[in-house]
Amino acid sequence: MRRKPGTLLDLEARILEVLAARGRGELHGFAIAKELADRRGSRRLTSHGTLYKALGRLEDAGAVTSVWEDSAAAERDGRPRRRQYRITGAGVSALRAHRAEAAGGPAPTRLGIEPR
Amino acid sequence: MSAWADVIARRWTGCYTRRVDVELAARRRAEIRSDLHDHAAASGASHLQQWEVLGRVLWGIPADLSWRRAARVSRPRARTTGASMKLRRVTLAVLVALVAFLVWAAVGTLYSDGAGFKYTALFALAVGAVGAGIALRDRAPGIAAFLILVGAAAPMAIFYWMAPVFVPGFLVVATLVVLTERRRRRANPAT
Repeated sequence: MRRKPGTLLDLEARILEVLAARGRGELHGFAIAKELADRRGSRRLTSHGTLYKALGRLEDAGAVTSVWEDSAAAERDGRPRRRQYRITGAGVSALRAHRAEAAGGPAPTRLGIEPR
Repeated sequence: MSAWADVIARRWTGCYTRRVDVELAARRRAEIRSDLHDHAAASGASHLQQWEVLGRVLWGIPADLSWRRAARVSRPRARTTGASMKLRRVTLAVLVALVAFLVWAAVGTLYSDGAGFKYTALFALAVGAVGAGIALRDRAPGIAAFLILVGAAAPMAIFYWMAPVFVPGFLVVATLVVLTERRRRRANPAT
């Protein structure tokens, strides 16, 4: 289904909500999936394909940024490195616009998200 | 307890990230690996947790395929210029001539006495093989080379009494196919 350019999908908006709640903090992919499930009151986690594709789209649109965590930290914990995501100013604006639209108001800002 | 679903998840990821931009593929594989680890750590490795992993893999397949499509579109196409482009054109011209010959031979054996339909069918299959090889030469170069060589070998096998003519012809086609493939790999080592 093609969507209007610049609009957020429901999942994207929920991901931004999760990240916005962290403020300047970061979350990795699984933690985002867990938080999404917890907010829904569900045990079912977002599928890999859906989650990482949505994160990729948000990153391409400038709504989130991501970096690999420090390898030393991961090695210390005996686990693979995590990709940490953080919401950007553009993401905050897009989220505000999405909330305003959902509430029936005008959408002041749109992200450059193009349907793929 | 065996992490059977984790194995499926990693193999599926390896599968749909093949022939995609190297960095994008590496990032996706690493993120999935990390996700799988964190999932097991958070939920505890159990049969239920593995079924959850399997569900996450299966429900995500359409999105994975869509991601792959987008990632392959963004990959810059291998550009063959200069000597490599000339070689591609020469090879294509030779293959088109081969197809034309095979079609002529197929029609000829259909109407000639004693040859019978079986030779026509073999030549028709050879036309199909070479045609498929030409069509696939960018998407699946290895398979394309194999199909072309099989098709080019058909006249040699069928008209074995004319080996002095068809063996050199086959060698020319084989040399061109191998050279083209080598140049293509040198130009685009990621594939």
